[in-house]
Amino acid sequence: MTYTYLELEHMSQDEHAPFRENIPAYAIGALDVEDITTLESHLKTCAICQAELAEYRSVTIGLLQSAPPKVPSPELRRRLAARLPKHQPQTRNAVFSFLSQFSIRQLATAAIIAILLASNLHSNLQLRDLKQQQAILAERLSSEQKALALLAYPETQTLAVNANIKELTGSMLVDKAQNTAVLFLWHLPQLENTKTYQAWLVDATGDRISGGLFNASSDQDYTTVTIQSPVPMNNFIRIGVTIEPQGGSQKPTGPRVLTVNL
Amino acid sequence: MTGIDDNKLISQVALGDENAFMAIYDHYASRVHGLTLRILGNDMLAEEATQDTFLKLWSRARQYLAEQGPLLPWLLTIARHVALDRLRLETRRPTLSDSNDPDNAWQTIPDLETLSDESRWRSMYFAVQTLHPDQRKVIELAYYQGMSQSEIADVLGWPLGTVKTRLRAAMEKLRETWNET
Repeated sequence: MTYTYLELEHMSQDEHAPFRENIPAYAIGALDVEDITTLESHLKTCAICQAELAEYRSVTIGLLQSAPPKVPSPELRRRLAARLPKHQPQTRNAVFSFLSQFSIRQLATAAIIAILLASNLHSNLQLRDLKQQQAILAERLSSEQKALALLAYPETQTLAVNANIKELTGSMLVDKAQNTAVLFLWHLPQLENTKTYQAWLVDATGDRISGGLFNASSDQDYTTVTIQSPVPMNNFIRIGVTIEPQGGSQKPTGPRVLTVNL
Repeated sequence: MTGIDDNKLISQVALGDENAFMAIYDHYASRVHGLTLRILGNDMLAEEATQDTFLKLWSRARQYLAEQGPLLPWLLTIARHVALDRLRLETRRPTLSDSNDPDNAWQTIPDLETLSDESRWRSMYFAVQTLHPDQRKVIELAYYQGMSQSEIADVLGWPLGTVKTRLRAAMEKLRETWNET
């Protein structure tokens, strides 16, 4: 961050002076090594000192050019001409040497192809992201439509969510005739990428089957989850949610997040 | 010589054109030699440094970027580095870390568009001559001998604080002169 002149007006002279007094010596190359690092750190953030340094560096260029001209001996010119390598040394790096064997047209064509490929790759990545977002939105829309449908159905029950996480609240709509339940969960925490939430349908003997995997909504405070039971919902006495490794588990292995008694 | 001529010549040098190289030498050799002589104080050593400077120009011509400024300050910055290196070698003083690479010349050349007016650097020469002798000594040792403030204090037997004060005062006077011209 570089301070503006306005901000620097608030910097007291005492704070600023130790740096400013070293600028002339720094510009002329005479500042001692132990003071250089401190001043260079300050210069990175101080517009006033940068401007002052630029002025003093102009002075050093004046000094550079102020030496009276002196014509060297004619012999130096001859020596110099004799010492010139016959071919201009290739001082550029290997990349430059490699590139120099191609014509400008070839290099331009290669550059255009590279730009097109990069552009295509970028577009594909954007398309993939859009498809992912579209799938998430479609899934959410489906859940919310089911929830609305359940709300309108006379047999639908509303059940309380017993949360094991602080601030997590919610309720569940259940239509046992349709073997469908929709969870409404507020303030469900986001999980790291390696974890997922998994719903479980629990029967009277304690046996469980998976009710599906889901993640917390990232752009709104509540999450809706539709649980479709493959067998009659009346077989179950409870629905639970645990945290499991990404991809889900055969049986609960992680901490319990909530339960709903059916 | 105009900047346009310099640019054309240096681009020809980058392609290995010896005639273009010698044209630059003929135009600027006295300026380079004047600086190396001022730093080294010995004509033979100064000619060697002048020669090394132009050999660096020959080998590094591709690195010259016209948009970063005129050729002369770049060439003189290289000459100063070469001469100070030689001086340190002769006097067994340590070499500065940045002294070998002509690329570093760009980092120390500011505001190049204002530097083409030769009357300004001539006035700078007279400004140095009219400094108080103690201040002039400090400037000479710092810029033309490449000494740090501590080295100057050792050489002159002055307290370090005195060196710092005199250097600051001298630079401030030179800055005023530079801004007035």
